[in-house]
Parts: sequence; structure tokens; C-alpha cells
Amino acid sequence: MYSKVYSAAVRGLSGQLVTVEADLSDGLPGFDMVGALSGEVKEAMARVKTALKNCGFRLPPKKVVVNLAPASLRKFGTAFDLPIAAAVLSALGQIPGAALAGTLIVGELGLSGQVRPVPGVMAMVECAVKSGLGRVLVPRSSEQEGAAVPGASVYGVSSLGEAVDCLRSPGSATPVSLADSPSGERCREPEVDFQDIRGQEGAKRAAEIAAAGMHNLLLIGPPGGGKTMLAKALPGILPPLSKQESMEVSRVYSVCGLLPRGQALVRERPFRAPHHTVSAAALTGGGPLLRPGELSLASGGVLFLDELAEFSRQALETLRQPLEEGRVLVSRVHGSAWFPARFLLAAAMNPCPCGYFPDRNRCRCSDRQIQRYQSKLSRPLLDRIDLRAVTGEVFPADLKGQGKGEPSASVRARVEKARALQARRFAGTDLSFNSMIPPRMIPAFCPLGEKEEAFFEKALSALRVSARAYHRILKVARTIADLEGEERIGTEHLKEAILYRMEQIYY
Amino acid sequence: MREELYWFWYCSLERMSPLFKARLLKRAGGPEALWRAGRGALRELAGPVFRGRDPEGFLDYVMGSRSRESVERKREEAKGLGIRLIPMTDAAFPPGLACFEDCPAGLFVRGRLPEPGVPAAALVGARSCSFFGREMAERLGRVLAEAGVQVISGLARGIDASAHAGALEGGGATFGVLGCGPDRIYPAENRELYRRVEERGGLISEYPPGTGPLAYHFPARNRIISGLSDCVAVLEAGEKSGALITASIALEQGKEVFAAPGRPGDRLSAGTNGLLRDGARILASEDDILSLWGLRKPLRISEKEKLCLDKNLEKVYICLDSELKSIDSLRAETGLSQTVLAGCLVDLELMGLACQPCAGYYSAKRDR
Repeated sequence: MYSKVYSAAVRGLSGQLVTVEADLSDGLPGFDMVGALSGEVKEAMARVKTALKNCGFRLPPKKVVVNLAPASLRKFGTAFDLPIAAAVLSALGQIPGAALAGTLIVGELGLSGQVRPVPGVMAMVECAVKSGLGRVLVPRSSEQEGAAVPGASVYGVSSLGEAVDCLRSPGSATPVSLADSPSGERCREPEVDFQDIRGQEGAKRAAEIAAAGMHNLLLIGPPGGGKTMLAKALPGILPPLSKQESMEVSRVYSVCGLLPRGQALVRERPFRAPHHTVSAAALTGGGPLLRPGELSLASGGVLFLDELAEFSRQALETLRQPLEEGRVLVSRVHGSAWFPARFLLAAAMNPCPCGYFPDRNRCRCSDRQIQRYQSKLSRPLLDRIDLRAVTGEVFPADLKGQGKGEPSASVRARVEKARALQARRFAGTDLSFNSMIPPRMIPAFCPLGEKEEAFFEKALSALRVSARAYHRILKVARTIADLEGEERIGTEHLKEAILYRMEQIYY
Repeated sequence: MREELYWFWYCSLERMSPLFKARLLKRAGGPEALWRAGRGALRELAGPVFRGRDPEGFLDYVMGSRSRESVERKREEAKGLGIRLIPMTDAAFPPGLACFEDCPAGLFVRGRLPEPGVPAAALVGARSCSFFGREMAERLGRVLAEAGVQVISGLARGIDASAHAGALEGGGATFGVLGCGPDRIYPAENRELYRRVEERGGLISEYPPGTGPLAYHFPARNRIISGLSDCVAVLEAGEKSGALITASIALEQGKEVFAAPGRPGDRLSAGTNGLLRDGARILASEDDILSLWGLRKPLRISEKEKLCLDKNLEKVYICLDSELKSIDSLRAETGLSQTVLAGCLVDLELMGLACQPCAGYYSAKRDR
């Protein structure tokens, strides 16, 4: 008796249709599985057999062959457990074959027959919609994730028995509906609020400008100066995720199995802070499954690289393409995939190996050591960072006595206003933020008046600002003007932008 | 063999302390006698003054070095590099050095030697100095050079390099006394400075071309720095700085020692304040050194007196100091908003009244 069930494999961010075929025949009793299977897929045999037994189905002493097609595609993961069980039951005649047509099934099985969650449900449901399969069976804890994809009826099942019932009598179950509609409200406040950060007004202002124009930011300062805290507060001053952004972020998180349990979509701006020992592949993504890496997990939010100078050169260089294009290409032997990587880079570093430069009473690093430390950051990388802010040391005495600062919410209001101005300015172009303005469009978007032009020219030559920094200063000035609600860039905006210029760190 | 070749041979000998080298030469009466002396005679000459562990090994080394071809070849090579040897018997040899017991047997010179009879001052200090120290050294070097004083230092990093650079800027002569052969550039980042010092003054060393910068060379070359100068000024020095060695040698040689006072408790002031406690002369302004020769600072019209700053600019300018101040601390002192302060700082920088020697930190730029 032959049967077939549809399932899906995830590669990159997209699902690929996999047909699970099962056949029962006379011969020596046995259970064979073929179709370029990796270790965990082969193990499905033991799980499926035991789960079937524990759910009251008797596997007759026959020869069972299971094939996962296309057989040339290497298959990974445990999502095929449930479809294999369904195919075997259908071959046994327990589930009518017609009930399986037009259905896509995914899920991992436990020995007792319970259905466990698998990563990438969102991509699999999208694959079902694309392949014209209107019904999708997914693990119950992932049902919300599946329901977020429009165009399919998603059924959540928590056990093999439930799945069989659902397949036998399609009318008995109702498809899942999205529990909480993705409104713009954030569910959870980020862990650090701006008002909790004492002092550091300069760095806070730089963070505000960074958030408003999506300018990458480098924080320099001694240890214990609140660089990390400031970076953690950044997601809180970014505008909430739009529905489209939320879908894009959720798709990545779904594939990585990082979606919060029972939640359909990611609502908060991501904040990722990989350790400085991270490998280049862990940043960009990779592996045989082409999994997204940290850069993509931070997409739509903040990528915080603490101790920037301690990252390996190779890891830092991988940042160049994503910072330029907002996406990253991962190429491996088995294929390649584009992943989103549109993040706000917030990097932090000490000015020297000991961290206390230029306080010469504490820092004994030689000029050579300091130069070597700073030269770990390559020019092309620094060229992609628009803002530089210096944090000072914070002493315990500073922490008490002062009143609370401005809360994140009011900073966010200003940022949102500046974003609205940018949205109006860039309507009809493929740009979205000031930081994305290419050099050739700078005259159009950042025009200077006569007085400002003269001042800027004078400042550039007097301060020996490089041509590279020229565009960055103008873009930052544009954002500062936007924050003030000004249509024209004034000299005071230029001056502030000059203060944050990302030239050499030490002259 | 000609006399100068004997000198070249003796001056190129290594493995000898400066004092021993001088004493041996004195006992023998000249390099030629040492060249001609047999092993026994040499042992007799060296014996009473030798302080090392292995006298026979030393004799082997000296006997082995007596190859006329190799000495001639080395001298030709030195000539090719533009390096001359001035032996202590030469009329051009600095008279200031000749009177000391550990006087070098000769000086390898690239460029020229300081002019005798013209005022000369040594400026020395820490390698890893502060921005303030660097500025001070540069200004002092420049003002001394403008007044016609020859500036002598060690071409090391930090204070030394800034003093040379200042003197070059002031259009004066400056001389670098090295702890390696005059053909070697150490540290490498001073390459350009080496070239300019050679052009406008000279590179001086008691070590032959090709000698590397070994640690024990540096305390020894300090005696030459001080010996070539009329006074030694220590600008910034930690508690165990090499600049203090120069100062104590200068005292032994009977030279005037100046020390720039620093804030009590600062690491880089510990050495200079210690010198002041021990009786060094205070270096409160350039005039303190210049008065030694009765010189005056060339008059220049101060920009500052003509300044008329607007209210906020003045507020910020007053808070600026020769010490570095972070933008955050300036805001706390002035009470201005970030935007206004940013404008003021950039304006002051454009007016040449402030500078940003290091990201996010400002200091005043006065009297330029």
C-alpha cells in the first residue's frame, strides 16, 4: 500500500516542499528510510515506531519503506517525524489518502506521541501557500507563528492522536486565528530606560541622532562608563516595528527557533550583542542549512559590538557588505541565500588597551600600543560609522543625588518626528533614512544655504576634515536638523555634526 | 696605517663600559699603541682597570678585531652613509665633553656638531608623556630656537621628539644624541624627524654605524646630551624616568638643571617635582632658561589681547585648560546645552583657540 504526505524543509529563510512517501509490502519485516537523510532524520524511525505504538496503532510485521523526495536534497531536523507517522498510517489504511492531499504536515514526535515544536514554521507555512496546499498541521506551540502567514488554514496539534483525528475528520477542527493582532504597541519595555543613565549627556545626544537617522555609532570611553547601558537603551528610543518590519524580523527568528513561545510575531526591536570571540560565520550565518547569523538576528534593531577592537579582523570585515547594502549574502557549497541585515550598529571600545587614556595618571600605555590597538579597526569599517561619541568615567558619587534624566519615551517621540520627516523626504525613492543617502544625492537632500556653505568650507579646511568625512558630516547635520524640525540645515547643525565627526580617533 | 684608522678601530670596539674605554685609552696613550700591543702588553694595560668577568675573552675580542681590511671597509661604508668620526683629539671635538673621565673616544656624526660658544640647552623627558607635556616641549623647543639656542635631545618618542620638532619649527639648530649607530633609525616612526634634524643640525652617537639600540646604550648617551649642553631641562618625568639620569649626570658635570613643576600627585610630575625638591631650578617659563644667557624671548603680538569673544564662547574658553577636558565635563562646568556647547567648541577650534588632541577631549591653545 503506497501513500504520500507533504512536508517542508527550510533552507535559508524559505521553505522547500518535501514529499514523504511510505510503502508497506510483504517481505522480511523491517523499516527502511531513504532520501539523503542526516542523523536526526534517520532517528525519526525509532521515534515514529514508538509513538505509533504508544498511541495505540499496531505496526504489522511488514516491510516499510519511507522516502523523502526530492531524494537529492539533504534533509536535516526533526520536522519530518509527524509527516512520516502520517504517511505510515495512511499506508496502513488508517488515514484516507484523500485527507492528506492539500495538506502540509510538520512536527517533531515524542515517544508518548506528543508533538513538539520545530523551528521555521513560518517559512514552512509560506511554502505551503506557495505550493497551493491550503491546510497546514503544525505543533500547537507554533500555531500562532504559522497563523501569522496569510492564505493558509493552520491547525495546531499537540499529539499524534489529535493529528490523526484532525486528518480523518477535517470538519471537526477549526483553524487557528491570530490571537493578538500585530498592533504597533510594544509588549515589553526594553531593560534599560534613558532616564536610568546618569550623566553622559553627550553620548545620549549622539544615540538620539543615531536612532533618528539610523547612523552607526561608535562609543569610546573607559571601562565602567556606561557604554553597554547606553547601547541597551537604544532599542527603546527607536520607533516601534511596523507590521512589515515585524514580519521580516519574525521570519528570521522563526527559522532560528528563537520566537518567544506562543507568540506570533516579534514586537520589540531586536538587540543582539555577540561576544567579541564570535566567528565570521556566526555573524553572517551559514552551515549546511544556511541559517541566518547575528547580523540578521539584529536586522531591524540594534547590533551591539562591545570591545570592538577585540573582535577578530575577519569578523569585522564581514560587516562591510551588510553596512553598505542592508543585507548579507551567505554562500556555501550547497547553495547561497540573502539574509536581511538592516541594523543600527552600535559599537563600543576602550581608547587603549588599559582603557584609561588620555588620563595619563592611570594609563601607562605607550603611543605605539595605543596606535596598534586602534589600528585594529580598518579604515573601510570606520568609514561606515557616522557618529563618534566619547563617554567619561562615572563615579559612584555621580549616581546619587541627581534627578532622573529624560525618559526614553520622550526621546522616542522626537526620533519618531524626525523619522516622519525622512519618510516624507524619501517618498518615491528606495531610501528610508538619512544615513542611506548616496553621495550623488547629497546636494539634493542636504542643500546648504550660502552662509552655511561658506562656513562649512572654512571649517573643513581649518580642521583638516577628509573628503570621506564630508558626506558623513552632511548626513548627520541633516538628521540633527530633522530632530529640530528644521527644513534647512543651519550652521549650528553643521557645528554639532562636526563635533561628532568620525575622523581618526586620536590626532 | 693612518692615525684616523686607529681611532676608527678603537671607537668601533664594543664590550667596554664608557669609563673603561676611556681609562684604557689614557693608559695606553693612544689607539695606535693599543693596536700594536701584544697580548701580554695588552693584559698589563687593561688589567688594573678591567672590571668585567672574563678578561681573557675580552683580550681575544680585541686581538680578533685587528684586521686592517675590515676597519678600512667599515670606514668606507661609514663615509658612504655620510658619517664622520670626530676623535677626542680632533680640534672639532666638543670641549665640553673632553674634560670628563668617561669622555667618549670619538663621536660618529651625521650632519654637524653643535657650534661651540653658541648657547645650547638639552630638553629631556618621558617617552609616554601627556598632551600637555608634548605641547610644552614643542613650545619650549620653538621659543629657544627662535632665540638662537641650540636644542639638544635624544630623538626618542614623546618629549624628545616634540622638543626637536619645536626647534625645527622655530627655525633653529637641533641635535639628536642617539643610543644606536647614526645610520639606525629608532624609533622608526621618527624617520622624517631624523632626516630634518640631520639637515638642520646633526645626529650624534658614540656607537659605530650598524649598532642597534640596546637598552644600556641609553643611560650612557645621556652623559653626552648633558655634556653638549649648557643646561638640562626636564619637562615631564615619572619617578624612575631616564630623564632623571640625565639630570643627575648634568649635576655631576656642573650643569644647570631646570625642572618644570607639575601638579602634586600626577605620575608624570613625580620626577620633576622631586628634582625641584632637591634644588633644581624652576622652569616656570621660557625666560627662566633664556635668562641663563641673558637672552629675551622674541616679541610677538599676542592674539589673545585683541580677542573679543561673545558671551558663550568666552564662558567655554575660560573653562578650557592646558589639561584635556572631556566634552561632558565642559558641559557640567559651563552649564550650556550640548548643541550650544558644540557650536562654541567648533568655533573656538576654528579660531585656533582650542584644539581636540584626542577624540572627545578639548584643551586650550594659547600663545601660539
